[in-house]
Amino acid sequence: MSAATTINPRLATVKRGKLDTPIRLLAYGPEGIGKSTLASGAPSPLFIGAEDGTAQLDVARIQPGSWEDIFGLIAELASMEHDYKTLVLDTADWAEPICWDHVCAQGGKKGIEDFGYGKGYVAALDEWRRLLSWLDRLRAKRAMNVVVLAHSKVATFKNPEGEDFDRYTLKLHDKAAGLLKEWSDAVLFCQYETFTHDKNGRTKGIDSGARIMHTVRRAAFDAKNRYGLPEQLPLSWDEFAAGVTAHAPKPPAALKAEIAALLPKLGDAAKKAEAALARAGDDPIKLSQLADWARGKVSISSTKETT
Amino acid sequence: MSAAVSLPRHLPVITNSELRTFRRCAREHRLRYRLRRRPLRDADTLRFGSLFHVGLEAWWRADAAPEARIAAALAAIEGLRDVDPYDRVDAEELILGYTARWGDGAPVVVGVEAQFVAPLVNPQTGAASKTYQLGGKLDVLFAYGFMEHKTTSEDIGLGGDYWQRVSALDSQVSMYTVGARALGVEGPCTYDVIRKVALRPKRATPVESRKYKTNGELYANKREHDETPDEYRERVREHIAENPERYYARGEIVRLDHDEAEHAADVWQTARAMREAELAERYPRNPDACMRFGRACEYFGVCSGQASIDDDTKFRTATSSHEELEEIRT
Repeated sequence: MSAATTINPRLATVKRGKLDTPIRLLAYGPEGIGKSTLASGAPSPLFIGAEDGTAQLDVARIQPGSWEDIFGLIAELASMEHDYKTLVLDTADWAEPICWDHVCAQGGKKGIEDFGYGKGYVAALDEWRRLLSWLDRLRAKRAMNVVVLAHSKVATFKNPEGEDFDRYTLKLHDKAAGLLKEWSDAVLFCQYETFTHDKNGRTKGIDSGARIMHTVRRAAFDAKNRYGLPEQLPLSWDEFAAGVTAHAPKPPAALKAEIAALLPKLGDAAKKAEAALARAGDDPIKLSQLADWARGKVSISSTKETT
Repeated sequence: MSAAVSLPRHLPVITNSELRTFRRCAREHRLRYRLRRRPLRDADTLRFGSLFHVGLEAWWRADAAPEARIAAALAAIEGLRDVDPYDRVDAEELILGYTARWGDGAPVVVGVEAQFVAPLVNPQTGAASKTYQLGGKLDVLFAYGFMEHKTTSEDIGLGGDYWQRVSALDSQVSMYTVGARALGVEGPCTYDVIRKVALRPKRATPVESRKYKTNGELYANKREHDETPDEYRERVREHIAENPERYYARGEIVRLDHDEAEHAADVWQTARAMREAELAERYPRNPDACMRFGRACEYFGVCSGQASIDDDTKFRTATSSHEELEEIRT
């Protein structure tokens, strides 16, 4: 086959259309599951962090030497011309000791525990907050997706209602892990599809070899999403992006048309709705909220009429 | 940047202090902000904070050269009347220490005491309130971010309780982030904290407690005279020079999207409660807030029936609800 007729198989998976708002994704899982590969499927990614996970991937990468270097890089991405559309922090647990080094240098301590009473971790949490605010700024200014990757660890959950059990958590200090999970629009737990099998009173774990992403919390792991994703997805950026796109709000024009159609049924509230419609402009979130409100009003009044 | 901002429309302004007062006690809010009756004399600890703030304001308004900053700040403090001489020493020495700590490389200032007004936004609908708007003054405004000065007696060490409280929840930082944005500035709040001097002037030992050695001298821990302000100044200067990290700390405080959303909801709900109190003409007292930091509320006597809010020997009527905000109708 000549070069002119060569078809790149990846091209077959290309999907058209854009994601409405830049994504804040936290994906975590065990070593080698394919977290970096997942992030490499994001639009024009730039990886910052250790090179181990991306060594086999043809991606742009940079390894900052210090915590402040990370901020310098984000500042450049926010202010300079470039083609990157996704920033990938690979991984948060790689960045954590760098953050601690920074905090220790500021506080004149040798180790994070030397602050005493957990104060070092509190100071580190402020640094994480600072980093997330810079990432938010990057999203707002350059509409870049932000993907944070992290390794998982198994920790025992002290169950107040029964026996303690093990669950997967982020391989980070609890405070930083909590903040990252709260900040992210989606927390995906990446894992091999696993089944358990009881034989002769013994439970054995079997995996199918398939790599999946869990999108909602279960007893065994944390996960969440604000996109209405299915509970499990194959471990692939395209699958994730398709799920997000499917649940993205309608375009502003469609929302405006829907609200306009509901106006005559709103009775006394129609004037208020018209004013709100004018105020909302093309803001899809405001329009979605207004459409929800109008639908609710119409639904209540039609229920009253039937009763 | 001009100090005052013209209003798009004349809605009553609510400030962070007003919201905080209402959250603490609706009755105190009514007395302080609706009747505008203010105690004639501020509490001692507040006086020191205000005194030092005057010095810092002048420091930031002055030319960038450290000598110019010191001269401006000390002149501003010098110009204040009725100041305890030892408080004056504390303030002056803290200014000198502040210059040594932060004088080099101070960022370029866009505005000092920059006044803002911003709409009070309903977080559900995104619509601006037709009842109130937000207002305040940023201590220092930079091209990227702003600064708030604070004086405190608490430990200001890295990772301590002080920073934990400010880090995500401080309502002033949240509101001023909105305010800075209204002035066209994005960016974090640099929380500039100065710890008050913990030393106290040494007082003369009461005559009946004095003990003398056989040679007629007083024992080492006994004194015949009060320590003079100049003697006290030497001790304070030495203590600050030896412990700069104990006295000065700065932290970059940021507000993430969810922090801002939570704060917007808090402010909206508090403002609604204020409005409801006004409409119902009911301002419940909160007895749990009568004693704070070991002191009674300044209106305790009024609420407990021992004083009248109309007593002009105890209270004055402020010219507006927010005297610190000029040219805004409040």
